[in-house]
Amino acid sequence: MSKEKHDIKLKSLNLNFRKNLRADRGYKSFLTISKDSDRLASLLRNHKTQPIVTHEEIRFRDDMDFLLSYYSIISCSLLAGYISSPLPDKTIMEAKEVLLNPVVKLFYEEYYPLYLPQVLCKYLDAPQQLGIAELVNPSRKNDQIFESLLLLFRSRIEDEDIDGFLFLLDDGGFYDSNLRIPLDLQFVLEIVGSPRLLVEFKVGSQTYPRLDSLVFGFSKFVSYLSGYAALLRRMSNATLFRAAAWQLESYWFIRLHEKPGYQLESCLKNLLSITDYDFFSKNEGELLQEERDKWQEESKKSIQLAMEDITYLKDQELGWPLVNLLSN
Amino acid sequence: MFHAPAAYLYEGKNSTAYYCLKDPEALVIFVHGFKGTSLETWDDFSSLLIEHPSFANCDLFFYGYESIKGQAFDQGQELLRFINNNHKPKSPFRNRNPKMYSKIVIAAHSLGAIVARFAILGSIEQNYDWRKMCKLVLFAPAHNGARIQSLIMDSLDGFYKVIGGITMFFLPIIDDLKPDSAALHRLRTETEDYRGGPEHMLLNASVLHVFGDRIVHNAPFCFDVFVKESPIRNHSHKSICKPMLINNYLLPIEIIRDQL
Repeated sequence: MSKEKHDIKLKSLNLNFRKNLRADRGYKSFLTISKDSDRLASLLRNHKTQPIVTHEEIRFRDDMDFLLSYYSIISCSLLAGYISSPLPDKTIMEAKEVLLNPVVKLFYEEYYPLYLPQVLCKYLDAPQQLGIAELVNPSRKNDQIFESLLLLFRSRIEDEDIDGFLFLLDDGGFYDSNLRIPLDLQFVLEIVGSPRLLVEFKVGSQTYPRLDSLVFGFSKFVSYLSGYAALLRRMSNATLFRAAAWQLESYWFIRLHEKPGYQLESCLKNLLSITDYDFFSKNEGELLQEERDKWQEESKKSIQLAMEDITYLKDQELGWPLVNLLSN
Repeated sequence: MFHAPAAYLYEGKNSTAYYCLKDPEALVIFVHGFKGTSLETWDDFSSLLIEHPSFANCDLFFYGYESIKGQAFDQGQELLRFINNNHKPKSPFRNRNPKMYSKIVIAAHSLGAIVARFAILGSIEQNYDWRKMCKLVLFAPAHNGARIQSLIMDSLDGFYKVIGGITMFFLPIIDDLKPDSAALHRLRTETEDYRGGPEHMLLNASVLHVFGDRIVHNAPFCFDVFVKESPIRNHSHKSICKPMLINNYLLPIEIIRDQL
């Protein structure tokens, strides 16, 4: 790969993920807050010990997530063979400053284990020791897959509907002042799985915008998972690249093994029966019977494929080659 | 390598730019349709164009918007703002950028054709200078209205089909797509007002449509011109705007190239 091409790739990663408003804000906030290590430790605490409640805490943690995402992407791009050594001095210096901070280290090593920043840390320390150059196969095909992965990932992190739905997956909730009820994961999935409730709450009509957003967020997230599974399957000949790509979203894939994941899968099973419900007689009657039948058949197939894709993504073995690399 | 890797733009939704590495002469803006996305609607278009010598001096923007929200007119206003903010070359990958593009081609599919036309009409109203460089290319445009049921059933892919088939009938933008809607009436009358005048060439789009399109109604619109290959057979409403090397379907690329 020519130096010019390499520099352009690095620049594009930097522009798209580091110059991103939230990552940049995360870094600037980190510089200020890290001068007081107790305050940093409080803001980056494990939420299981004390819930995260204030706007300041949520915002800082979200911004740090974006900054850590950037380092994860740099790590992933090394393992995909998209970029290689040496990284720019400024990138190395900043990454060390953030990732080697003891509080931040605790955050991504123990509280919310993220292997990609750990790989980057080790790489920055001793690139030859990891032996990445010998393990990866740079190719135009892998570059294209990697760029597709980044586009897909970006579509997820910038979607407000998915963001809201993931907040529910993370045991969060909203209060809807029109409905005057709390909206949590169970409630939203109950609505999604019930034709009567979908009609009763006029989902899609913007009568209850937050509810609409969460229902669409659910739909978009399931579609996102299918897209992600398709990309991982294209990496079957590059196990380290695939492991890195899996680890990029491992937090959510592991979450699918917990209660929210079971609720999601249960909802998908309910949806198989929802496709038998005759919604279309309630709308203008242009639809032909064969079109209704086609919708039912294709919807059932989509749900079944989505369930297969989720099963595939839950397989933690996909991420092991990266864990093994770290422990070598 | 004619173009830099994708650069994410922060206007619209998942809007993406492929900046050429040489001095750009033209800009092509792609505008998707109902429930489309900035890049997926166009499938291999981006990967084919960035390696096509005819586009080596072209910046390529794939504009995205949340098509299930708002009305067609609203989306048009946002597209107008996007074009106005980006009508001068400003790639971060070039050491210097020329002052302007000599041509701006706006390629739109289905609902995107309505959105794009509202944007162009807005540019006339605002008297933006850059509009004089614009040219509209429309694929299976929805400006004569759509069969709503088919639009929703056929345009939704994969899992969207399930929930979308149930919830999307209530969306305001669906009303805009009905053949007798106020939005389409406004689009037609405002466009007609410019027939034969100085803005005529700006508003007479080149159109490619599908023979027997199951989703949009095919008919002349104002003073648009059908490309000579129109109507095209063996394609669907969705595939018409997706060039493919495998079956040698490169017509969409040729139509845009001919406008440069």
